[in-house]
Amino acid sequence: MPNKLSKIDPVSRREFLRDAGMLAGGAILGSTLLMTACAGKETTVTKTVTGPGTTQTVTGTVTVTNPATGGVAQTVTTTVTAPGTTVTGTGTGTTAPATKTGWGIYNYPKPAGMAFVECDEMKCVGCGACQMACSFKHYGVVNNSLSRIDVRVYGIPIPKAIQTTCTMCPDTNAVLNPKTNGPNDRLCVVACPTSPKSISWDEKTLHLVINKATCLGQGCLLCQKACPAKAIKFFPGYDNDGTTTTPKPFVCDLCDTKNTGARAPACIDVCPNDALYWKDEDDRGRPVRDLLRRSPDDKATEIARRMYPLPRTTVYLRNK
Amino acid sequence: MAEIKIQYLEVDLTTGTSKVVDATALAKQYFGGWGLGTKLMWDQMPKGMDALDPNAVVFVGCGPVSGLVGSKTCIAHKSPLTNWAGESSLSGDFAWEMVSAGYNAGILLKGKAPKLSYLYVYDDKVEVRDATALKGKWMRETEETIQSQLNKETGEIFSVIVNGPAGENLVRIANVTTQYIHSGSKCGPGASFGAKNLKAIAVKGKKGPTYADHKAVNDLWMSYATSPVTALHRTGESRWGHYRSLQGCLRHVVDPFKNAHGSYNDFPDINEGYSFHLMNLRHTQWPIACHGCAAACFMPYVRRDERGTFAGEYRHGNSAGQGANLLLPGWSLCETSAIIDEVGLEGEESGCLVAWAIDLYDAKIISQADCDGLIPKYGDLDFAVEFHKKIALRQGKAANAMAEGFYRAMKVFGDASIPYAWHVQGQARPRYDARHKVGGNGLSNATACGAGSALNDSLTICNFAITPFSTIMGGNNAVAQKFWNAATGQNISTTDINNIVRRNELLGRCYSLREGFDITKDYDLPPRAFSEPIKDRYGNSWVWTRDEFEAAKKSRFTTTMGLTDKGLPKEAELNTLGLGFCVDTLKPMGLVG
Repeated sequence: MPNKLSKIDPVSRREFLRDAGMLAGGAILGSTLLMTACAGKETTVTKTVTGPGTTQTVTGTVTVTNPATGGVAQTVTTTVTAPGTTVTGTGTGTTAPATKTGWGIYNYPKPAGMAFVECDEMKCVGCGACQMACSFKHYGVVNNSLSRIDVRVYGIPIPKAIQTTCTMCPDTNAVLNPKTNGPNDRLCVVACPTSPKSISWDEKTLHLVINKATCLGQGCLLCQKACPAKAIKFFPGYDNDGTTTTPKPFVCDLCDTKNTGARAPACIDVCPNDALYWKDEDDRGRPVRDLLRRSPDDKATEIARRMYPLPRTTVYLRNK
Repeated sequence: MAEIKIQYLEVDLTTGTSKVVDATALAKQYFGGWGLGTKLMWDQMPKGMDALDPNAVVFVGCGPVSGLVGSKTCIAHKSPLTNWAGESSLSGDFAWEMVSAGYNAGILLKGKAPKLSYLYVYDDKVEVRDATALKGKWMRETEETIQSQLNKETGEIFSVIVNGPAGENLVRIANVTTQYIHSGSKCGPGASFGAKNLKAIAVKGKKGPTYADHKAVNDLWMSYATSPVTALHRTGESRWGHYRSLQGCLRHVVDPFKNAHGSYNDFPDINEGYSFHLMNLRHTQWPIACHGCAAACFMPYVRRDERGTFAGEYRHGNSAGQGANLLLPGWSLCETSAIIDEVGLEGEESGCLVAWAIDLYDAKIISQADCDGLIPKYGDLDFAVEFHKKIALRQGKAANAMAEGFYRAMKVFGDASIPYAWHVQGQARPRYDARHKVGGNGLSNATACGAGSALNDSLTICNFAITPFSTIMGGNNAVAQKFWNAATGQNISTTDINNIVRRNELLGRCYSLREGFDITKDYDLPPRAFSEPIKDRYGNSWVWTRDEFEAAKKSRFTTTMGLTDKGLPKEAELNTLGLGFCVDTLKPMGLVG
């Protein structure tokens, strides 16, 4: 039987040059695109300039050569007309960090339609950065109890950090709810007893909105109980819009705190291990693999089951 | 910016009562954690009080910045092992929970519970609860039982520090753990807990931390999390965990072989290969970090083999001294490391003691009967596992003596046993071999006096976590200054920090001197450090000569540590730093320079 592996296909000089040319051309094109992506951008710098006889705070424009680094000291020269005089000065300012910090997924375009924060449980190390960023964004304080994203550490039986956030359940019956095998409604909205609903899906902003004027608050919390992911949070003394007047439940609003549709989740921006990222509806995946609507307890159980196909009792150490 | 209040929870276990104590003024002098705890011990424990006395105080310390640069719980207590100042640090989220519950300096334990109990802290609710049903339970079962009970009761996941069977039996090398793998190891905190009838402490904080400037705290942390400069450190630790240090330790013989008798040979090659290929690729599961650190240096493993299923973490407090020191191949460490965590032993101490027992048996100093029927033997996994259990349960003459630590066991076994013991100041120091003058810790261990890092263990931040912060903020002191000022609203300068660090260093030393640290005997290495060379993989040989060691020690005392050539603190400096009360006590004892 002939040994196919020992046969070497001859490559002509023409074929070699063609393939090598494509490779080199691709590399040049890729490098050009990368350099373009990392190229300079205009950033506003505010600084104080001392002119003849007066001190003015002026604003100038400067080109930052590497936006990825952020916080770079820059020199700007600008002219400004003050009342009765004109001053020209040169000063050094510090640019604000650029909004895009890095490469790859950081520069992916954000989803245009319905989207949510995807949690990659196997990447999460439990540092709590997302919780700190979330609570600070919404309430101006660092307090994990006020975070809309939840990180819990389970012992299964070694410690594992599990995140949970609102998955913006699709309001469609095209696929069945993997947990109930029933209609795929947003269970929090269904559970809300008020009319009109106090928690509702906003088609304009593409996230859930809680109406603090009609929400029954601590005495109700049926939405919280109905959520299969336990993504609706409540903390006595805090409202859903950042105030502390009338305690109401709160849920992930994708950091669109003013309900204008400007979604910019802080948790994704700060996650140091890339365990959180944007995911749109099309990427949701097959329902059978859908861990998204699971509570952190369920996710931990699922991971433990994958680790330990044996009965749970055999996990423990020998205890003669 | 208004300063925040720094306070600790004081619990009297005898009566079950508690109160909140304002420690803001003390924190300005000592930070928190180890520094503050040592000051409380100095004030509240009279000179010479036994470490296991019911009236001894144990400070489970944290600080206002705990959970921002890693999360460390620093237990300051009088060490049952040495009778000097003792400090044991645990990673995990316990410190962050204490801060979130409103106790941003920690918990001070006093008295002794009338029966086995655990302390329950849920924000302002503090209870001493019955734990007699948990008597004798192993670590994992204890933590899981308490966590699941409290989860049913409150819906929250509590952070729990657990004491094991060894601690209940007042074994002086007993540790305490949290989240199964984070071990507070050195100085026998388990025995201190056991002396108070304390099985566990469970804490959950929902109130959230109190900071003077939340924005400044948030900005500092986010500058670390989003900085590309810190990415290399973060991703390196997250991928490999702290295992990556093992290769160097094995190749350069700073990990001991065969009770520190051996030099590099094929055996560590086996362990090295195992550590890097099998452990990392097959048994380690995922990285896990503490709150406020993205480096995630913990990489717990789960291994299943014909002997059972074993889970744990492979590092100093859990397993150092267990491997090559007992001539056990690397995969056996999965079992021994798990066992010592389960029964509540300190891995370095117990590993060195078991290796010592094998030497003593070979030298016919102890017998099979002394070992409760076991035959000590290098490379015997069954013996290693069973002897560890016997130490924890104090079964048999040899194990019972070793449960008391090196110094006390030497008195039981006699002077003939001393040359075989590998210890420094009565504590096992297996890793970073004392003879290795480059990678070893012999000089620093021999000139130590108590335990604890004056900066990190007092701020209760992590040695490993601080590295990337330090890179972008300009040094460890700068990190401390920025976080402390942002969190507390105080405005301490770099000079203040240097003074606090120096004050904590000297206070720990003074406490140990007050409690019987012998400068003529304890500033020393074991006899074998001067007579038995070790050789690394590259043919380098390491051993001390007496003259060389004495000269190096004197130089370290006077130039590096700012002490007298005998290793005593200077009176003028103590007075300058506000430690005049130490002078008042130590000067009549002739222990001030």
